[in-house]
Amino acid sequence: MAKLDLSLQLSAPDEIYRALIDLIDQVGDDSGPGAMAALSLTLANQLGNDEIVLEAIDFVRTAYASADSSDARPAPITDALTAFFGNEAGNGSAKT
Amino acid sequence: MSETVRPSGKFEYPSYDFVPPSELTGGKAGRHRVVIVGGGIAGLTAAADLGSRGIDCILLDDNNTVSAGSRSIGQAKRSLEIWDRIGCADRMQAAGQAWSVGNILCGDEHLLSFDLSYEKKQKFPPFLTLPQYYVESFLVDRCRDFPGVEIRWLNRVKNASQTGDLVTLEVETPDGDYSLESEWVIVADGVRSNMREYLNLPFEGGSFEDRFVIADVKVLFGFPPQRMFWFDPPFIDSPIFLLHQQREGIWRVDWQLGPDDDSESEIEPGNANRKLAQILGKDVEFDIQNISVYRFGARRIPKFRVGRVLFASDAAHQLSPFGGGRGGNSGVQDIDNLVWKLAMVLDGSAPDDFLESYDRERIPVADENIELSNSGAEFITPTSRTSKALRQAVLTLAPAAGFARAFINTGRMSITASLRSSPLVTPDRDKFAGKLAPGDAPVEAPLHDANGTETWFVQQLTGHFTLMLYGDPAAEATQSDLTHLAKLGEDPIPVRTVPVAPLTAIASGSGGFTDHTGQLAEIYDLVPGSCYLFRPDQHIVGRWRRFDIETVRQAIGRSTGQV
Repeated sequence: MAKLDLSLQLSAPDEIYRALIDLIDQVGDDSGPGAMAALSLTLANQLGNDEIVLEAIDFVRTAYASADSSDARPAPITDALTAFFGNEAGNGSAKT
Repeated sequence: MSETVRPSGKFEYPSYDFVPPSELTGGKAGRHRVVIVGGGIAGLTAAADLGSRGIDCILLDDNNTVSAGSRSIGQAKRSLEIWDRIGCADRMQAAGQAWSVGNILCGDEHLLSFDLSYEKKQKFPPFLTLPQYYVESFLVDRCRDFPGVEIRWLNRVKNASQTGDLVTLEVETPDGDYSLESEWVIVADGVRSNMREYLNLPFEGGSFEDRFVIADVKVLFGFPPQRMFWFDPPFIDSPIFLLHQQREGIWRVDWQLGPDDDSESEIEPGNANRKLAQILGKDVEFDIQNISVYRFGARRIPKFRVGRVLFASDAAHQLSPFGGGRGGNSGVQDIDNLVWKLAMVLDGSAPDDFLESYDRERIPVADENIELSNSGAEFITPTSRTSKALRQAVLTLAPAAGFARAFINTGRMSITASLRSSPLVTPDRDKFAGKLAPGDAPVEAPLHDANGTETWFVQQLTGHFTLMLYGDPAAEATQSDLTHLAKLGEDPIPVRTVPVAPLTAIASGSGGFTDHTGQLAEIYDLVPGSCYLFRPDQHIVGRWRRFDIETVRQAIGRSTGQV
């Protein structure tokens, strides 16, 4: 049964992101991935819930597996806008 | 920044006449109270604001037209309120394109949308897309309404110095050089400020190596006027792409260059046309109005007041363009903060040192804006491999995880700066509910005037100290308060009164206003007898549950540096 809560629990996400960037800056780019891994382990332990940690690992695995990594395209922006807004928005070619 | 500029849409760049200044025709050194250096948005706002207060000033600009090219287009609500106070926002609103919805995508995946629209009725939209050249041309027109405002086109300041109580400017013109002296100089000559150089004031802070193409392109799409931001856009080989609609079929487009791309080559007409054709699609006709390449910095000078020289806007602080429209809009707020204080110093209502409060109030705002714009820039253009991996983690998780979407930062949109920590603000003694606090800018609400015609609350805050008193005009307590309030109008620093009646009362015939929707009472947490004191720049000085004339006088003393 899924228990993983994916809704925002942090009160100041921008500050947390800034702190993560500061951490990366402080340990250096070479050590950055290691620091992020160390942070994962620290937070997993703090959470203290094996089931949730495993669910989180599974969630991340799935997200990365389904991430689009194709090199196909490029398609013009009108296609992207039409896909987003729908055909009724009007993607007709333009007269200057 | 190199730039290819052509007239945009229907806009025709004005050519303002050079008029030989009196210093040249009369042959004597001029001496003035206020000189403004730089005729961009901030400088022209300062001139119009001074003019609206009946203060003579001279504005020196090294050009004879308004800003060309891809400059600011996002005019925030607070800027519009300031220009409304000065008397030229209606033209801007009519010429601009209001927008409130932004969308962020990664490739084809829609990550999130945001909507800045209000729950309650407001006079101005959260953002108005209006190119800088329009804003400046309307401000020039407004300046012409004030006989005391003299704009000197093609007058380039080539040196500056200050001794004692005067600033001396050496000015170059087509008819020769001259010098003038001024008691005060407002510097708004932009990021590459010559005045900063003359006074040896280097920027402190960082700059970014990433380069971006920015272009205004005429193409008659029929898509809604929503801000579109792509990470890994599917139509161009660039990490990001920004699309923003203006009026007249013109779209602002913005993308990042690769490290090996050549700036000059990218904007060469043939290459630029090929790139835009690839982006827009081969069957789409378009016309590039202007295109340029830029880098940006996030930095400021240590002090904005340097003796009798007062730096503002980009001359004082530079922000990432991904600061959510904080650059130009914070410059307008600089001027809003500065001009009323300068006016008080000029008429002797406050000491010269009162202008130190310009530094105290605006430098923290600049620092906050720099930090916020740096955060946006770091997310958009990560500066290390790990930072990029972190950003990619957010973008990968975002489609399925709400918490990840909260980390996406394409520039937190400009909001009005609060001055809650300013020493000029009188802290609350009485309890008020709601989000507002002393130091905040006002929040808009519709009112009925004495004739029952709809008007706006912020519009009643006309550049003076103003006390809004809430109460039934028929009530004895309100009448007593209004009698006492009339005395404040005769003080050395006079206070205007804006009486507002609750929706249950009828203000007709009282000369006051009615909160006919109850919106004002809700936002300001008003009950009969409540009053709010506003500064000339419309920020809240203090608020009380009962009006007391001495309390108000103390608050005014505090907010003018005399307590």
